[in-house]
Amino acid sequence: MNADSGAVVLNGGQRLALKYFSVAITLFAAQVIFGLLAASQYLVPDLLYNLLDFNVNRMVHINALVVWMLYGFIGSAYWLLEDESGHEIVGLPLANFVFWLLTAAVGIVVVVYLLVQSGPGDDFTLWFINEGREYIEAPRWADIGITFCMLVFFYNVAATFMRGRWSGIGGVLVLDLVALAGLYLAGMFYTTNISMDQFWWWWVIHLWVEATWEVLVGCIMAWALMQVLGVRRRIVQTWLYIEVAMMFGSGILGLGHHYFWIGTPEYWFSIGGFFSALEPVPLVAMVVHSVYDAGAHKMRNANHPAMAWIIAHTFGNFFGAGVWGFMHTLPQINLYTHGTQWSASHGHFAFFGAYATIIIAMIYIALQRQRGNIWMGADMPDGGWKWKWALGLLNLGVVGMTIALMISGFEQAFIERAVEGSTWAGYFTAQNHPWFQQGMIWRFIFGVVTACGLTLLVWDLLTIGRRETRRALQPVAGVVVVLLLLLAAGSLPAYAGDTAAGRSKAEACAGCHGDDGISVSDPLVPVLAGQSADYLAVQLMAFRQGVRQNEVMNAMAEELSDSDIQDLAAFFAALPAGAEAASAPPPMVARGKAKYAACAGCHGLKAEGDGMRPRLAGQSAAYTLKQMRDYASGARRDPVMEGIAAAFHDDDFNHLAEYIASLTRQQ
Amino acid sequence: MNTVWWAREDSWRKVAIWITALMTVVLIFLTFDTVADISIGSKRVPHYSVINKQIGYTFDAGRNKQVPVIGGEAPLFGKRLSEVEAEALVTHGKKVVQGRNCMNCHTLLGNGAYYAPDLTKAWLDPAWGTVGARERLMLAFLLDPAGNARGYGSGRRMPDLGLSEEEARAVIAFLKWMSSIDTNGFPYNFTPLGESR
Repeated sequence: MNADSGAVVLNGGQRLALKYFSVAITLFAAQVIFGLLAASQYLVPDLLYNLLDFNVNRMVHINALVVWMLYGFIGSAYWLLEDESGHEIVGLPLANFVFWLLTAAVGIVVVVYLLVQSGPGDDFTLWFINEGREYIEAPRWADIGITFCMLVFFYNVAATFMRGRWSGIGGVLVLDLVALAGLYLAGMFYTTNISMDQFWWWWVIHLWVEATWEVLVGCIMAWALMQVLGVRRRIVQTWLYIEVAMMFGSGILGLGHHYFWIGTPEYWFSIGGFFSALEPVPLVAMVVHSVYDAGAHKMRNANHPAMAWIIAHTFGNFFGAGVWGFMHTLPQINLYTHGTQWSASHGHFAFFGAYATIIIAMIYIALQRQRGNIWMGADMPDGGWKWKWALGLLNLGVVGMTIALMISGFEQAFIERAVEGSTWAGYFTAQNHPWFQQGMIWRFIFGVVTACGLTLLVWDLLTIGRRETRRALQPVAGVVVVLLLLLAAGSLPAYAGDTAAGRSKAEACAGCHGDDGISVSDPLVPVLAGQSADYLAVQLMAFRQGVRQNEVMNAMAEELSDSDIQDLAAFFAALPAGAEAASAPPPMVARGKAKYAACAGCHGLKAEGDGMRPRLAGQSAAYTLKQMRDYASGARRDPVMEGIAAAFHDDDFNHLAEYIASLTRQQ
Repeated sequence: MNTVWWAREDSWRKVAIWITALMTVVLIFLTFDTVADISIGSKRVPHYSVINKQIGYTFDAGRNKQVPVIGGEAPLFGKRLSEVEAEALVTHGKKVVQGRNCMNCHTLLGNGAYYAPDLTKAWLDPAWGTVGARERLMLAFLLDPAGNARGYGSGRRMPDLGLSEEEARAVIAFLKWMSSIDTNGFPYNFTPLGESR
């Protein structure tokens, strides 16, 4: 990546993703505004009476929520698609057209919601105004339009991976999108039988939100962790599979916790209760995964806002979706809490914690690239106060609303349900109770806090990195494959890995090779500082494949990805070669010097090395000696070196090693 | 290369596929069973013509919960309907409930919004005073919700949704039918109209 060019060229998918992200944030704002309106109607019931009633505000509130999250997911998928598949997006013009089509449809639906609001009890209303089913109120024409758009989206993603290369993330993503689009069809029919209606309605709502959406953000999260922290692909993909296994293993039958009270048979008590109890497990796994990775990489990264939102995602997902969900999914508790503010408490925390957070993280990752791949780590020009306060206020606001609603929910479950017996009089007794009212007041206050956080977030998204000139130097995707192809062809490009990333990855090496790449304690551990990057990379690959044998190095290298190897090689190659010249008896050195003539052709007159031929200068005599003996015995393999070693006597090895060790590292 | 089998990417991919497939198959099996159990005219979800009958909600010691009890003849608005007529009326009522977006204030079977009371057992709610006055009061309320506001001092009033009398009667039919669904004892501890606790 050219560190001097200001403009970064985004690929077609990334430009499209930015459009999706813009609409997503706009709808997020709409969600908060209409949420505040609905919240204030709890406090001032006559507010906008018969003009913009609670049901309209609440419908826009939750529909904006669902749609902005879908926009965020679609945008995230388009953002990572070309990088992940190594192929330009198939059907990009159609994808761009569909963006405008979908956005126009969303606009029309919202205008009709606000201006027409409701219609007579006939099919026209269901087709063109409002279907009146919570979360999927969108009229039928819009359902069909949304399905068409989702199919095009699916085509873009699947066809691009098919033309490019598949990965674990790509495979999970494509299969998940099949489920996502297919499940929506379960909500696209009318039936008078309300038990049947809600049975299938939950297929959409639950199997989206508690299964396929979770897996979708699992894919986004896996990709984001590789981007932000440089976590190895093998690690994130293994975790992704574990999460899919546990998420679908618990979430598919966890659907049963919605089948306690809608007319469905009693066996759902056991099935729903049991599998719901398991649902938090994958969310714990995600917390462990991300926090462990962040710790393993010492939190070092060039995008602090994205990293912070990723951590907010894992905790929000675990507490909001996992803990707050489990608190009331056992039927013994749900009998009293079903249909109370308890659900609203869980809903606010879960949607924000599980989904809003990771979308915001992806937007920060996207903006970093869009603004010129700039540095977004520590020491921002303004100290990063905007993103930090936005993060704090949004999380405080949502957690505050969650706790306020939970207190109201507790009160409702006890007073309306347990004591008063769930009649209308019982309902209003609970609603009028000061404990309930106080919860509503605090919910409104924290709603305002959330709105402030969002305002700041929008300001930050518009401005972050505008005055930044430092580069982030992220690993270049795709370079690894090119590298391996060139390696197979026998020539390595002069690819410079990411030295900054290499520095943090080299923590594990320092124990033996020294902080500065100069080993001091064990003479058999080579000096790496100033070694040729290509040579280092190839050796690490050889250790990883077991072609070169060393118990410690084989184990260490096995954990390395190709990009890790490039980064490490670049890091060590860039370190100053500062070793002192070793002293040795002059006669021995002189004899070695004469014999070195056989080596200089490849390793250079000063043993400085050249590309694939390693620098020898500065290595300990013991190390060099061992290498030559290993070549002679065949313990270390290299056709050229084995032949040369066979031509020397063991005494010669000693002399050569001493001579090489005596060479200074100055060129 | 030396990774133990349970930490390998490959193993977990297989586990993920098999678990997902297994759970999907189990869900499909259960869906067939449940759909049969909740079809119209089943034991749990009576036919729409139940609006011709008396509906109660009484404690069943065997199941240890309240269950709907279908009693003798009690035609809605005094007019006995055929199965076809009943289905048409309840269907109209359901479409009004959807078209007027009731679910974004009320809950139906406990699902929806929490700004107004649950409607699962609205037909049986003691708010209507007596069995004799119920139909008249429900109709009057739906036709003029502001004028007949039932906010219990909360200040909340149902907005005027412009229901025609035909629509209002259809909604009442829908509510009466819905109250006959066996909801496994939800809502709990409920006192139906005409019975004292």
